[in-house]
Amino acid sequence: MKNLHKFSAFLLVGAVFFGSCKKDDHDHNHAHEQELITKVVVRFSSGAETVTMTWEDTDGLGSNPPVIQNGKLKPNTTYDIDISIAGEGGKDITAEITNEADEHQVYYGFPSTLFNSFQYTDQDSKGKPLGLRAKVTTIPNTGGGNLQILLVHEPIKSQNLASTPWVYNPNIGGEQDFNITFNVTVAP
Amino acid sequence: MKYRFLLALGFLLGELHAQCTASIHGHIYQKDTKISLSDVQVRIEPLGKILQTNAEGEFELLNICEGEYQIFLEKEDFLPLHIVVELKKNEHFHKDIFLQADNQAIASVEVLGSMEKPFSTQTQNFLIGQELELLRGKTLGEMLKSITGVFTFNTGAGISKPMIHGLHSQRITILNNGIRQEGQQWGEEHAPEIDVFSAEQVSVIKGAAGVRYGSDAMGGVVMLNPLPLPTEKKLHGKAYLIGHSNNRMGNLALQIEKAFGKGWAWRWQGSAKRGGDFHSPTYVLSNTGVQELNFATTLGIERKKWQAEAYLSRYDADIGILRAAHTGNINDLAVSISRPEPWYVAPFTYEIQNPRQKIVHYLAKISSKITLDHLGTLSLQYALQWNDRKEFDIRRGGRSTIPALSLQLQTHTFDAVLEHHAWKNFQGSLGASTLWQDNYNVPGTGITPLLPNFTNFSQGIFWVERFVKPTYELEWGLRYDFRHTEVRTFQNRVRITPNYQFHWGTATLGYLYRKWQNIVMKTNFATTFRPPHTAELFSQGLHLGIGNIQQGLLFENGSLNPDKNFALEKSYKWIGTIQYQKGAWQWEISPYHHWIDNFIYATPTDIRLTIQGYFPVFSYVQRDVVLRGIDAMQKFQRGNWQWQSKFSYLNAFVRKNNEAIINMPPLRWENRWAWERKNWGKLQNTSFFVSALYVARQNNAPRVIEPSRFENISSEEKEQILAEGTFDFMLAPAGYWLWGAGASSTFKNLTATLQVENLTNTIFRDYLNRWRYYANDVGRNFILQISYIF
Repeated sequence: MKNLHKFSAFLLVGAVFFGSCKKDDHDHNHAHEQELITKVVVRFSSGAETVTMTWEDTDGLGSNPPVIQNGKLKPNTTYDIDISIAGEGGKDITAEITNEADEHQVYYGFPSTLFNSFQYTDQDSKGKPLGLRAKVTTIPNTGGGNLQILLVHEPIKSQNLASTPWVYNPNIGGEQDFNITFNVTVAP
Repeated sequence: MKYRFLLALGFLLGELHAQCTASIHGHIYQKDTKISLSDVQVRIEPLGKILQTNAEGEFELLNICEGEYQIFLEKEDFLPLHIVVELKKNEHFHKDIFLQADNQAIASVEVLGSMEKPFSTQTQNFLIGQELELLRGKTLGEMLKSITGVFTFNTGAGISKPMIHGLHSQRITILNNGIRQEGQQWGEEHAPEIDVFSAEQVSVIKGAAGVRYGSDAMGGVVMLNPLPLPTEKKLHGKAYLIGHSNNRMGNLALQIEKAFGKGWAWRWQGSAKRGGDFHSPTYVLSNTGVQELNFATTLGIERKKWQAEAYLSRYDADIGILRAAHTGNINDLAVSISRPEPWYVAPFTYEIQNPRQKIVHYLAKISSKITLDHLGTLSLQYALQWNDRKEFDIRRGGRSTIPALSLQLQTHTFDAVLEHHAWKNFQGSLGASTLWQDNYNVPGTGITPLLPNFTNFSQGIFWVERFVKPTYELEWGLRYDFRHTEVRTFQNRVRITPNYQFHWGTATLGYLYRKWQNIVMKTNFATTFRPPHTAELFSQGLHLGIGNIQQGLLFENGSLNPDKNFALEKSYKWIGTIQYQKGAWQWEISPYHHWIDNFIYATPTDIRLTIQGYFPVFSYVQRDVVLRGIDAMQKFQRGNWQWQSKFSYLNAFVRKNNEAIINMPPLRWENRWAWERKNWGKLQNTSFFVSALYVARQNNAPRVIEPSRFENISSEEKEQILAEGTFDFMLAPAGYWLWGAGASSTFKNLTATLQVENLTNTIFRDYLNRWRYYANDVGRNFILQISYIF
């Protein structure tokens, strides 16, 4: 009996010890979100003129609202689109996408009141579009509308429509890394 | 040592009566294994009374006069026994009786466990013997589903969590070999880390058992136990070979055990499993493979007044997550719902790609039981659990080999319970339990952890007592708990370490009545308080596969406030049971009513625009809810024919506004018709069966808002959606019927069973499957099972 008391006292002391041993550990796992995209910059350039539109949300899924800078394009003009992507602290992510071009594609959605023509100007190693670069021609008159841009990770590119490969459809699947919309005006 | 299973009714007499009020009660065990024996024929002379022992090996004869009685015990495959009893006036005689197996026939004995029954007035159901054997090779959740009122909350076919009367995860306690399982159970897609082959006795307590097992037992308790260690010096064992056709799964399991004198004995048990992609009736469910490699080993010693045991087990699993369901984004969810089949379907493979989970769980335990002459039986146990969970996602920039979530959870538990000797009509136990736990995020994932680091220290003391009379029992219990939680996290990039202290009390009261010969009635009322889990307080992040952002209780307008007020969850559960048995019929009906105040659950509070598009934000809130329902079971047996029917229905709602609660089980009705023959030529226990399962549509589900509505949503629309309360993205799936059939037989030591599930290859989706938005459920599956006992 006596031994038993000793034994349980020992275990109790042990339990208290565990409870009180403060872990002064390095909880520095508030890691930098390595994959989080915080900023997308879309440049429209035609000759010397460049129109820049940006979509920025620094806190990721947090509650702070995004800052969106829309833009105005000239009618009947051909623009080269060039997208650059940044992560936390302004770290460039564009190269990461270019390196994994086979596994990514940028899709575009726009009404006929915005562009007359659309053409991808870059491609992956298999000759399929990547979409960070494209060429568009605006409509001849005044107009505008919503320009939706999607970056899809692991799309099934063979499901792209032959005539409009920039339009996303459900058969393509994959995961949307960003899905942003700009309000674009077309006016002289 | 005989008294270690002391389940005796009181020895001492009650009031004086003119009529005969003596009684005989017996508990019959198999001599070597101390396993309770059911269906033993008990003949009591000179009364000429013939009784049968029940499933727990007990028999009882009430209201007899003083005098000498002779008891004759007989059971097939056992040597008959004859005992003489001299009964005094008003004596309640009790005896533990041991039957010697007739060794030549030992292999065919159907063993029934002497399972722990912590409460006699609680509704407890068992899975034992052949019923359990037929379920070998299934996940723990799927196995438990055969108990009325138990459902599973699934993430595909490979991950299933037991759900009792609508509650799961941190509201259920799983006792694995007497130790409360401590893994990352807060996660909806985190299955219990247990090798099902290590359990020979499975039972579920459906009432709240918080008094005995702490706050997590408010929804019920699942108990998994091995058999007692052997006493025979010969090596014995059991081997299983199981094949499933649907995912081409192979499953091997082996158990060996032996005693080696002076009370020492050991057991080793291991199992391996490898399965590939599951198939729905029309397509492959890509990346749903599973691999497991588990072992457990026990060493024990049993002496006259004490016994001790050391146990070590390792569970190691790799589980694939359906490729098409691993989406973080509401637009992806919209795409999946609009498609007839998943966007990613590849040819069958055993290979498990990302997304996947890799889990290792260790359990090391030392326990001891000591009989103290004048006090009772003292049980002491210490356990260490080590849980390592890594989840791999599809990531950019070659990071797919780095886990997106890497958690290590370490838990120490120490329990001491004193079961006092029966005193007058009182039986009961006193106990204390201590838990110390540390959760740690292994750095280097490159993703802000969903769950912060934390340390828990908790202590509880309890007292449970029963007042036992031949015709009724009264049971009550009290418990006090204390918990200290320290969380280590960040607020606006500054490290903070908020502390929380909780104190709470718990109580239970129950009554059992068995005056009438064929009827037993039980009623139990229990309160359980539960402090929120750290995940419910602090978690923030994307809920993969469900297209929403989740936020813990401590978030205010989207940012963390560690000082925000919150309350304990307060549960009040009543459960009643009526068991009726007469002739060929057996019935069990249990209604229940569960009030939970401050019930913690997620409800939409915001619709947020992010760079990935609009997301609904589901925040944890506390509401007063009711979960009420009824379970019913019926068995009919005549000759070789048997019909079993199980029914369960649950109705759950928020008290204030009658709002439905998501993911609550729909009505379920299961039938099984069997033809069984004990001896048929050289075959034993031959049976053929057909089963039919009906699951209704959940009509009491939240309203539906299609995810496409969130695209470019206006602020008025946003306000309107939020004002109308909770919602789901898809209509609850339609009801369905599933048919099954099978045959089983034993030849000497070898048992073979062939079964088919979803016989008609029915296309269906289940409301309690988180992948219901993405893919159809599993199609036809043939299962061949061969077991060998030696």
